Amino acid sequence: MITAENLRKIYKVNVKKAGLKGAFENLFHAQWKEKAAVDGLTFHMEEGRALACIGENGAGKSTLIKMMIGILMPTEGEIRVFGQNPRQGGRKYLREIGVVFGQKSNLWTDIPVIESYRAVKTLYKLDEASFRRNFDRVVELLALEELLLSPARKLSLGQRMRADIGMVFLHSPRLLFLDEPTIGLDINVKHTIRTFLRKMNQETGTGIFLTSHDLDDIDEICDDTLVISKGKLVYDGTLEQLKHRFVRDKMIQVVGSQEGDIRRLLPSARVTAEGRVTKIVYPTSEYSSDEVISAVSRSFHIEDITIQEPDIDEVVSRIFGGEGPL
Amino acid sequence: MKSFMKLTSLSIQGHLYYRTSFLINLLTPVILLSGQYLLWNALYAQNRAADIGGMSRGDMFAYLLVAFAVSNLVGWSGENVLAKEINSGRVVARCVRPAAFLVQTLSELTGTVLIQGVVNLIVVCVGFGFFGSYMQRPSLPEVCVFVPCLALAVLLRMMMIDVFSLLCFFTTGYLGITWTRTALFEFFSGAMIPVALFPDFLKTVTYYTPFPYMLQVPVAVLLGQELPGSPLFIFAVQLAWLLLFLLIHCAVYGLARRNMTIAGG
Amino acid sequence: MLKIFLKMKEQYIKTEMEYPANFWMMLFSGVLTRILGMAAPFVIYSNLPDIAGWKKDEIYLILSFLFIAEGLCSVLFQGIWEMPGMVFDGKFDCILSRPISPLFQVLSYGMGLQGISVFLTGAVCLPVFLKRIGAFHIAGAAVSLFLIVCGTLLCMSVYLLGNSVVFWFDAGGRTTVPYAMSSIGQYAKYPVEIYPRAMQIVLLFLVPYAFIGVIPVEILRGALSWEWCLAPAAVSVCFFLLARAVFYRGIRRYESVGM
Repeated sequence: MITAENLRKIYKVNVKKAGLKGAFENLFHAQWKEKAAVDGLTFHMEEGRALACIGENGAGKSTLIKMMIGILMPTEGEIRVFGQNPRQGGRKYLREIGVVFGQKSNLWTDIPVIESYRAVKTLYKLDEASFRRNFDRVVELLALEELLLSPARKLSLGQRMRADIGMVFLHSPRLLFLDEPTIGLDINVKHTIRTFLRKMNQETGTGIFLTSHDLDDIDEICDDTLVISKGKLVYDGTLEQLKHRFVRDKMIQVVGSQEGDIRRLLPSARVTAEGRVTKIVYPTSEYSSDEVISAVSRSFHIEDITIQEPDIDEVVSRIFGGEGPL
Repeated sequence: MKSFMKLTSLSIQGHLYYRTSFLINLLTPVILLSGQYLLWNALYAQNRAADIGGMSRGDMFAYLLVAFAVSNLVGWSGENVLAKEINSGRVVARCVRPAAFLVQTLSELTGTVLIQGVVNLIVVCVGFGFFGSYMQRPSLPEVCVFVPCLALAVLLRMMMIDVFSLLCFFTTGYLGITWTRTALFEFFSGAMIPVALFPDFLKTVTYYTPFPYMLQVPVAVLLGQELPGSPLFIFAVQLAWLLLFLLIHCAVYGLARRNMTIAGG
Repeated sequence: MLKIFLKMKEQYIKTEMEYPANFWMMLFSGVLTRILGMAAPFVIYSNLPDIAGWKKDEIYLILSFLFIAEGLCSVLFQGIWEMPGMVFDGKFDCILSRPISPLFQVLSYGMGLQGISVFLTGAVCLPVFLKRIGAFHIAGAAVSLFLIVCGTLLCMSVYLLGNSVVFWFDAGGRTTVPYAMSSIGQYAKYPVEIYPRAMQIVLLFLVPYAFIGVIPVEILRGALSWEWCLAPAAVSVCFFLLARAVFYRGIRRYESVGM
């Protein structure tokens, strides 16, 4: 559905000198430097998938989204969505996609939410039946009932975001672009939005392209990931594989009395004990989970045991910590 | 067309949202109108001859009243919506809506103009109702020419606002551009002083700009005052300017879209 | 205090200069508005020989005084105009939470770039027209300077008073009351004696722009004696105190309503 071929976007940045004098000089002859926000990206996304784009601040995620929507022109390379250049798709293309920017609302500020929704119906030329169907569905799933009549200006951030996300589904888009949709929200709202997005992705087959700093978003919504750093592609594949490749250590936490010497059985593991709770961190390269569990069961009288899944936070901090090529 | 109507109604609703301030904002121009009246009243009182620059007192007051109504059709806040959005990057929302950019701008401005237009019509009618005997009154055929001329004038003004706002894609602030636009409009359109009073060279220059065709010309048509040409010539000039602004819009918008760097990454 | 104030202004001007296109546009718009503002009396005088015995150059001198006061206000106290917006988007809470006088913070906030060129236009015009009316001497210059200080203070107070309205009528950060006040003030670029009594009172005591431009020129052209210099000083101090009181009243209201 989306294919990007060696995509580049270069901005001109003003180079400034320090101090008042430098500021004055800049007025008369400004100096410019080229900065690549997106630097040679190639990737592909299938119809109906949910793909997350991860990257540090300024990695080029928003620029990428804007190029895919067709409001920024790539400096080099090619991008195709539904087999065509987004800039040539015009209004027909805009009717097929939906866009949500976490920090900028698409709702009209001074009028009730429901009026914005009705405007969408006219703007996207929806027929009454399909509008009704979508409308009832988003109102129910996002619990929008009580805020439909308030103007967007009066909504809290969480309410506004729910209303924004609901609005974007009214015209049954084939593909959705979400730029940090859960930024600044509390855990409940985040949860509602994530479940909603996941559900819509699975039930209606709406493709989702999402950027986020919140790794739980990715964990709960997406199957695939794209990791970008300084405009370059660092990883492209499934989330599972990403975790797998980057997780070198796993941890097991055991509650119970120790009866044998675990350190002798697993010499390369780090073992820390605190009262009746023992934490065992082991390298996946040396021990399989099987070995570890059998070692644990031999040396402990187990009351409770938890195996910690690798955390994507950790994965990402490793990638950006510059640990090894992928 | 349907989208246009819908967006217009949204704009109207937005403007009516703050009731007290809406009323205050409507009334402030009336204060300014009284100021204009007092100034010219004083100037006529000072003057020994009966008319100034060929305009009698009655001509002048009728002109001031109608010119005020026309120039205040688009308020300060309405004019700057687009410029501010471009400035803050919120304009992205417009770019992803499946409606032509120009249609969105024009419908929004139409919303402002409709509300203000109703109020101004009342002001003008009340003005003529009470002081009609002291002023020059329009005749029916004049009104008939005036209506299409005003419609074109308002459209022309909206196009000018749109084009100037688009320039904000290329600067980081919008105030410089809007002030420049307001200053040019206020002076050359005849909103402050009728173009008829301008010295000859200034008058010639003024009629070569689009501004008098947004205000002075329709008002003069209505009141049968001095015009740069026949009604047909005026319509032709208005249409020509509209076309030119449309071309500029397309050029500037195209350029902006090609080299756009939207605020906020 | 003054040092912090100037330091902040330096910061603002530095950030503004980072965008040359906008910087020049602002300066250009400042000059253009004022030149077209001077064109209005030019057109009137091309049709009338004089207004109540005032010559064209005297009107231009009034305008020069107004430009200088407005320009300085805009460069130094731009924050006043930003106040409605700050109240609306919650930035005003930050101001109240800092242990520095809110008035000082509002005054030192922001920088009106076009003020630079407005001021410069006024500063170029002032000596030219002082010379034309024959008041281009040391005493005239000293009096002008003193009156400019009073005028700037007065102008600032009027802006502050007008913009404090936002505490009572919040409307999404937009209100035209201050604009209306400064537009009424624009009528004070003509000698106030031509207006009816009520309007004179407005321009002298409600929106006292007459003390920024007209009264100083009256003094300089010799229609009023030098002692009259005290009048603008007194009015500006009174207005400042009034505006300050209203401003703090507004803050009290803001805090109690909790907008």
